[in-house]
Amino acid sequence: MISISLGSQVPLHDQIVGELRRLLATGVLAPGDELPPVRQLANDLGINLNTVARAYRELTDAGLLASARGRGTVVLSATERRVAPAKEEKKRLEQSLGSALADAKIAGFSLAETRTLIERQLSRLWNPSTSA
Amino acid sequence: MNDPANLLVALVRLGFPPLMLLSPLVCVLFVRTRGKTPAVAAEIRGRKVMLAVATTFCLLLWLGCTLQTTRSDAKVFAFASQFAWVLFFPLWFGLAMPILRVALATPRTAGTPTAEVRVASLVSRARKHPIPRGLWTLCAALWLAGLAAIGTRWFGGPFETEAARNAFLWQLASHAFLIALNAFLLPFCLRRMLLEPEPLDAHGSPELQRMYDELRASRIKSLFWVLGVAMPAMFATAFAIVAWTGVGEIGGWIGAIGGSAVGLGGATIGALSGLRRMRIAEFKQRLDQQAKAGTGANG
Repeated sequence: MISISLGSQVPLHDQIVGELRRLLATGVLAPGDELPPVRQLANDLGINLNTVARAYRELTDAGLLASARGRGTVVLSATERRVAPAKEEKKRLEQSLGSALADAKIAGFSLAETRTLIERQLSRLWNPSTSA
Repeated sequence: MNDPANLLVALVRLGFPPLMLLSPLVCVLFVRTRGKTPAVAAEIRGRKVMLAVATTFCLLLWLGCTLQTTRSDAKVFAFASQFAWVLFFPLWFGLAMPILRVALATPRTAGTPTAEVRVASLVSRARKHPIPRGLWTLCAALWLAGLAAIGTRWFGGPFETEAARNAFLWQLASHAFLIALNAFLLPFCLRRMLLEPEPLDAHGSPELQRMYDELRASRIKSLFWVLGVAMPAMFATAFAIVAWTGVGEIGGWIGAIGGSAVGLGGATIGALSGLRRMRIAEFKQRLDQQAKAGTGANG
C-alpha cells in the first residue's frame, strides 16, 4: 500500500518516491515485484498521470526500478541495480541528509525534535513491525 | 402464411413492439424505494406513475394502429403498428433512466478519491484479468464461425440476381469489419476497466479490496459475455440467415431483437454495477470515518 497526503507541503511525486523507497528499504517491495501501471496508481490516488510517471522515472533513473515492455515496471534486485561506487553513494547520502537536516533547522525544529524525527524514520526502516 | 418462416416473422412483428414498449416499465418495477428518504421515494413513485401512463398510452396507440390495419387498407396504420417499438427510446431514455438515476443516486464522486490522505494498492491489476484464454478462443471462434457461415454461401450455388450477390458481399465485408472492430475495442475496453479508480481506506481493508475485486471481475465478465459472445453470435446468426435465405427481414428482426437485448443487457449491467459501486463508496466512507474517529481519539 502507498499513502500520500494532498495537504502536505511535500510535492506529490516526492511523496510517492519516498513511499516507494521506504517500501523497498523495508522489503515490502521485493526484487521482481511488479508495480501497478502508472494509470492505475494515478487513478487510485486521484492524481495526474505525469506525477506518478515522474516518480517512477526518478526511481528508474536511480537504478531501483526497471521498465520493460510487457513486464511493466519491476523492482530490481541488488545485483541488477546500477549502484554507484560506495564512496559516491556515501557522498550522495550525506548531501541529501544534510539538506534534510538543514530544512529542519530552517523550519525551526530544535535538536531534540530533529533527533526524534530521525529516530522515528530509523525505526520505520529498520523495525517496521514495531513502528506502525 | 403457410410458410413457417412467414408465420415466425408475423408473430415476431406482432409481439416485438409491445414487448419493447413494456420493457422500460418492467425494468423500473424492480427498483425499490425501501431505505430511501421520503422525498426520493416520492420522486421515484411519481416518475414510475408517469412511465406507467406513458407506456399505457404507447401500447394503446400501437393496439389502435394494429386493429386499424384489419379494417383499413391505409398503409400508414400498418407502418405505425410495425414501427411503434421505436417509442421504446423516449420511454427508456426519457422516463426509465431518470428513475434509475434517482434510485441508484450514484454520486459523481463514487469511487473517485476525494480524501486528503489517499491510499492505493501496489498490486498490479493488469495481471488479474478475469477472462481466461479459453473464453477469448470462444469469442474468436464465434466470430470466425459467423464469417465461415456467411462466406460458404459463395459456394452454395449461383445468386438469383446481381443485387443478391452484392448484398452477400456487403454482409461478408460488414462482418469482417465488425471482427476487426471488436478485436480492437473489446480488449481495450476490458483493459480500461481494470484501471478504474479503486481508492483504499487508510488501513487497506481486505474487505474493501475484496469488494473491488468482485465488482471488477463481474463487470468485466458481464461485458465480455455481452460483447464477446452474445454480439458475435447475434451478428453471425443474422448475417448467415440473410446470406442463405435471402430474406433480409428475418436478419433485420434478429438484429433488432438481439440488438435490443444486448442494449438492455448492457444497461442492466451498468445499473447494477453503479449500485454496487455506490455500496462500496458508502463502505469506504464508513471506514474513513472510523479511521478519522480513531485518529481523533488518539490525537
